[in-house]
Amino acid sequence: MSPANLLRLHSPLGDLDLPYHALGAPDRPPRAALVAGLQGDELNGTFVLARLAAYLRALEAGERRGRLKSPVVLVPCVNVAGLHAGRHGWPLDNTDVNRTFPGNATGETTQRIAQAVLELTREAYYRVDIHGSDRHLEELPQVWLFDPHDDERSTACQFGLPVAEQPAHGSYAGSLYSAWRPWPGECFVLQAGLAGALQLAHSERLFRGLVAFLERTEILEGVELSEDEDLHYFGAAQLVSVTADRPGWFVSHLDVGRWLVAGDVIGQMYDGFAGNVLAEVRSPVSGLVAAIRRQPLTFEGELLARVHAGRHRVAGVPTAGSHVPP
Amino acid sequence: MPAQLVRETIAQWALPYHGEVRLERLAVGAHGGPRVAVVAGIHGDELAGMYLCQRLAAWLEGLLDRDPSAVPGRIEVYPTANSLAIGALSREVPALQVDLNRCFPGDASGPMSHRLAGALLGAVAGAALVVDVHASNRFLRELPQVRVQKDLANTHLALARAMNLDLVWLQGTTPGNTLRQALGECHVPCLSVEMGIALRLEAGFVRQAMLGILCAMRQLGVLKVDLPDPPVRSIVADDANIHYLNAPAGGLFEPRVEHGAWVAPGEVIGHVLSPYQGRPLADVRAPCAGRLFTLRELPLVETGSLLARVVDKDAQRPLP
Repeated sequence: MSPANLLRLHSPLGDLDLPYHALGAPDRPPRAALVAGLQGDELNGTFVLARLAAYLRALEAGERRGRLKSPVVLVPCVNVAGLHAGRHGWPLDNTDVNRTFPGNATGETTQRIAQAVLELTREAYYRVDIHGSDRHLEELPQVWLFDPHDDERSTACQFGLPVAEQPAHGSYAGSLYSAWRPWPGECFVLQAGLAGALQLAHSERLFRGLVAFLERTEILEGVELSEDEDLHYFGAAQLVSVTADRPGWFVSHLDVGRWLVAGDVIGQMYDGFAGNVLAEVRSPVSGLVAAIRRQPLTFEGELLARVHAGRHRVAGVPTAGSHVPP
Repeated sequence: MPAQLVRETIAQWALPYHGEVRLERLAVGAHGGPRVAVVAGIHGDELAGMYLCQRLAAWLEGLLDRDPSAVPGRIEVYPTANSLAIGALSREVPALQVDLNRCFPGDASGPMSHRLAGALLGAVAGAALVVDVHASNRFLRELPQVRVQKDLANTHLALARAMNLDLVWLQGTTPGNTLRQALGECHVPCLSVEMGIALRLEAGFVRQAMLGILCAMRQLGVLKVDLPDPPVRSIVADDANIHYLNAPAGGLFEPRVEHGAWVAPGEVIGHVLSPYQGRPLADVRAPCAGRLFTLRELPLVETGSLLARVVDKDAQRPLP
């Protein structure tokens, strides 16, 4: 089977293709568009979308129980050159592809890619952009919303992952998400893991979340879902950033997804040369550890962890006892 | 006390392992009068600005030796705004991999890049003019030019034309979170100078820009000195007069005209070549009569890579 190809960039060094999966009835516009790999070193999303494509093809072939009711498009990796080079940005010029939207069909290479991706995905009612953080911070699999409307708030819970409204600010100018916003429908950003490597546990959770989302939005039917996650919805005011009050080496044994009470130790800040502990970093609030720093070298003011304060259960979803803070 | 250039530390931050990073400047003149700030090295691989600052310091030292009263205003020079990046020869702030010129207005309690941006913005705020000196990137060679936000042309154009550069480009949009945009929001005139190419020095371009900066300082009353009139008559253009030539195919770009040449419509500017065939993959032709003010120097290109920019010769219309 040869995949659909969104764009071919000719080069004597070898043509560069941008393949994608179009699944379901080809005569109807996609109901959902799922995109990953805008940054080439964010591997979890690319792996999960490739696995999801295989899963959906197995459904279409009758090899698995369930049915794909509406068409979907999956772009597992947009920055193909970055993926192969192990780079966050576009390898030749280090451009961040996720700052080139809405793109330009006659512009720079990355602008052409952006334009093609937007053209493919913008008319889907559900649009999901999957990210794998950066090389500094490990993110718990979660849904991010920016300035959402009520339908998005409601639908976001269908992934079965924690939902966090992020403060909307100008730094997202040029992103795929911002280019999607003017189009009718609903947009989501998913975050999972740490760039530069694959975290299988996060990938599995992300995969289950996407299948649940497709089933609950009636794009799939008849599939077997795993047990519901313990759903939590956090408003922007509940996101607490823990930042370094001094430079040093930050080291933490905590896993993302842990619940903390205010005052719990998140990690230690070491003197980078002398090796002594400069400070214990403690959580200022009780809540869920949504992200934690894994790259130890830390300047003053850098983000060490993000804790989602409080504990807001979504009605009708069972509580996982092990997650209840003492 | 005789007037002299003084080296000052504006801010400093400890590094995670050992030592510190500093934001420093050279300054001369009293506070209270008109003030001009020259900022260089926001991108660590653009070296021309540092050289310009050194030439400026040498010229000012000579001037003050001859006439200590020649600077009635105040001059502040920031040669290495992003010293950590300069040390790594990196465009971005290393470790953080952040473009400092996308971090303005900064944040005094944010990550180091935003603290640095905030400290720099705070230091130059209130100046009569800020000149932000850049040297393109590693790919494109630029004729000396000044870029101005088009909606500020009424107030900035006279200064921009005094800068003695080949092109004044009135841009409809300014990239977000840049020093120029942040200063524009504070109503501080900021002119972005681009010249040459990253990682290299073009002494002629630097001399040309330095004379322009001195002329602007004189125009603002910061300097009291005889200078030759700027010899360069700038082309003033807006986005509608600037034509982009992007690669029609990937390969090796071979330019066939000199950077800065005047070109005729349809004239071949260069070829895109393949190492696997003798014939060019594509010819690149001038879209109009004009001046080739941007030319690609790094030959490896992909489909869409910017090869050149031409400013339409008709852009030289009389100014309003």
